[in-house]
Amino acid sequence: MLDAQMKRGLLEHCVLAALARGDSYGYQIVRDLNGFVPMTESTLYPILRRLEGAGALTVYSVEHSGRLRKFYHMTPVGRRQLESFAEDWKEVSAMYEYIRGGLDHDES
Amino acid sequence: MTKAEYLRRLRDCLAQMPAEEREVQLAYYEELFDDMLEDGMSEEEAALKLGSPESVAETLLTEMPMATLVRNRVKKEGRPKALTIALLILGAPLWLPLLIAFLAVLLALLITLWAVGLSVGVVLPAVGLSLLAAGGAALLGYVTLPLLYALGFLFGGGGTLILGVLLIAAIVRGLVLLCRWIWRGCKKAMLK
Repeated sequence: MLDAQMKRGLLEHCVLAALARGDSYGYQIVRDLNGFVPMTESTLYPILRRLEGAGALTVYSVEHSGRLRKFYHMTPVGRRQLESFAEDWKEVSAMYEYIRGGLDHDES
Repeated sequence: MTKAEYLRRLRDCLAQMPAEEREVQLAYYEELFDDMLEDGMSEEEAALKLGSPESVAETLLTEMPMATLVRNRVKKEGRPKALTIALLILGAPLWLPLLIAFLAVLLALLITLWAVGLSVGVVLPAVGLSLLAAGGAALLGYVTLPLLYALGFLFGGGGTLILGVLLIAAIVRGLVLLCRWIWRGCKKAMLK
């Protein structure tokens, strides 16, 4: 099981990555992430709020079949956050390869 | 569970939240619900997918900063109470004389009641006695005299007794009502 803090950071960036592909709304984001990321509607919401608070995304409402639907839009701040995360992850990825290699070595 | 019921239960579970924040959260869940219905789910299925309102509320409340929750609780319960106390202290020059005046009036009323009771208590036996005297004068020498005496005493004494009991009952009842009124006032001030 992933460390809670780490998982939270990962999920946050998954949401940003989903928005990097275009503005979206709550239910759609969950559907897009479904299959890659363990995300429910209830876990998504606090993440959206956190990202909004950090200025990584903005919210706007669009009328849809007689009701309002909230759309989320990634800001330049959000993009930078995503870029720096990808940059940092290279380091993690290298460590992962090393760990992985150790496992392979043990098996042979 | 229907959508309306789901949202109502969620609202109840989020009672601790600041009202503004709660409405935003509820709007989000209502939107999700509508999206799911649009997706072809039944209300029942959508409610199941979202998870029970209780568990959703727990997630949302855990994510909320503790400070916000505490601040909200203090705002909701503490501040009016603090205000009440402050008003009570600041208003002392006003309500203290009023209270004293009120108690003085009450005391005067009690004394008056006692006086009335006492005078009635005196008057009735007096009437009885005068009746007795009249009867005595009119029927002097007759055998019925002791009977008249007895009747007079009966009326006088009985009347006084009944009046006394009624008076005491009225005073006790008044005091009970007064205490209850004061108690309710105190409780109301504390609860608001």
